[in-house]
Amino acid sequence: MTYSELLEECKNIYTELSYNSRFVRIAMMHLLAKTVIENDLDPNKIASFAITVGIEPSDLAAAILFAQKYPNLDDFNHDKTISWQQIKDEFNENQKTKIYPS
Amino acid sequence: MSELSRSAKALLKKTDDNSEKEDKPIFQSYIETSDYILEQIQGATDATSANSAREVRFIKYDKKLGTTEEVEDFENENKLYKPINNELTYSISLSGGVQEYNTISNLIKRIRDFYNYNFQVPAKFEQILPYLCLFTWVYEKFPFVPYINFVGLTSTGKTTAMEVFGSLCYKTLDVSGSITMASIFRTTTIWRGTLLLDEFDNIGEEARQMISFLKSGVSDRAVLRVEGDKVREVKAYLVKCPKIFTSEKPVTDAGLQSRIFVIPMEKNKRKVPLYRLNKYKKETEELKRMLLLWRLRNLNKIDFEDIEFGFEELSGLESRVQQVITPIYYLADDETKKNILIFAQEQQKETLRQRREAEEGIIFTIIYDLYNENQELMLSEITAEFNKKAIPFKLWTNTKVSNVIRKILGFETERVGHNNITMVIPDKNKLEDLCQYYGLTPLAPIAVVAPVANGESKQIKVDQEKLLDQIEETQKESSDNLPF
Repeated sequence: MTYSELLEECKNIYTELSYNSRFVRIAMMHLLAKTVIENDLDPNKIASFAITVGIEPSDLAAAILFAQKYPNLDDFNHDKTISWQQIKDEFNENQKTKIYPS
Repeated sequence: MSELSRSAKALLKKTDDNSEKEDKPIFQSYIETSDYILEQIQGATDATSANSAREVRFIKYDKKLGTTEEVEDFENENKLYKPINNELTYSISLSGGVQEYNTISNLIKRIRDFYNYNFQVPAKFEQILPYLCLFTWVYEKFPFVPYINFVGLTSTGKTTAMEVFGSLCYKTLDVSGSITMASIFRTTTIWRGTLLLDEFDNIGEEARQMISFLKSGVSDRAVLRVEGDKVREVKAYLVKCPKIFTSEKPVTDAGLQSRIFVIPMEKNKRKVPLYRLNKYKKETEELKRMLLLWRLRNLNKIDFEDIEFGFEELSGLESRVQQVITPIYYLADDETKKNILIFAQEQQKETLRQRREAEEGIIFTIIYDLYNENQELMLSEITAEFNKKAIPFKLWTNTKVSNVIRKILGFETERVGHNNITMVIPDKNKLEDLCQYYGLTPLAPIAVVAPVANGESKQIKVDQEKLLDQIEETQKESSDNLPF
């Protein structure tokens, strides 16, 4: 393999596998939220439920909003740079309206 | 919206608010607590790109011990403060640290020499300029910030003067290349430093915005602006800071003009450096370090308690002139104070001249002249005289002149006789007040002689020559009282 071929190969591995790993996290959050919605979790217990499960309450809250908007994950259009944080920010009104001066 | 998603939204908002308060550092260039003052400094950098990281730190001054140390961040009341480090850091010139200046007179002398070497300082400003520079380092403690305007034709060195003068000022920010007013408002609010504006233009929409920006930037009041493309929002900006600008002609807006130190520039009569090389940079850096230490030591010594009503020796001057002069008068030594007083009187004359040259000033001068000549104050005559003197682009009508007379000058008008001629009613108290406002000699006292045969009284003027003698005597007396 020449140097440029090696570089190209490694870039491909990184792009594909890092995307895979990030998408698995997104899929996990989506599945968690979907399960919560389907089983009618008490709305006042989202935070304590999340802590008991072992995730951040804000993650579960964003995941619920995400799963309600896209009940089928295949409908969610994205590119390979997508991450859970981007989705979380998308649903966070504070992040959207944060304009100077703070 | 379901109950679950409503709760999820609320939770997300709450979590984000808390994390912002507790975890995220606050980026600021200046912090003051009861024990410390922290001022952002920056090290020299070889970075060529605006995206490269620049070494930024705080200099932490202990108010009680008077000691300084360099720190990377500062924690106070569970909040972490860090110096600003983004592309804006490149547009601002900060000190690299602190350096001992020994005595204030030594510091002033070094600043004066630095200015004199690098540009031709007009003689009467030689003493004043170092104090104006010093003032920029403690401006926030003063309720009123005067501006500096270098005025002169092309190649008189006004831009060089502004750059050299500005290079020693507090947190200098050159916004001459800014395309929009919004960027100027934002950067000013973030840094609160000294603003440099090259080639300020009096004409056009941008100039109007700039004039209102400059007018509101002399005191602590906030400026409200509507911004945003999709969501229009009202935002408040604090733009009080020293501002230095250059222009070919003095500012024509009377309100702004009275807030400015106008420094007329002339063609250089001696050689001044054409290029600013390493020696210049080194000296600038050294002086800025000294000035920062002077700021840290003196910031909290400035106290306006005793001069709430202004300095006694400046009380003869217009209040606006006093406001402009007070900051440097406060900081100056005795010798310079004398120069400032002379300068203040010239500034006062200039302010009054500007007022007299404004449209309402011209109208009042006409009324004043007619009254002094004991003539009737006919509106048509005043209008004709105004059109002759002011040469407006479009001739003014009687109605327009009458509006100024009634609404701005505050005189009443009335229609008299069969021809319904409009006359201005001369109110003596009003006339006297306005004489003072426009800097005109007080009116000739009118003596009332004994009633004449038909039972009416007749007003005649006292001997003009005798009156002039009296005025001269009064002026001599008042000038004897001046401290210089």
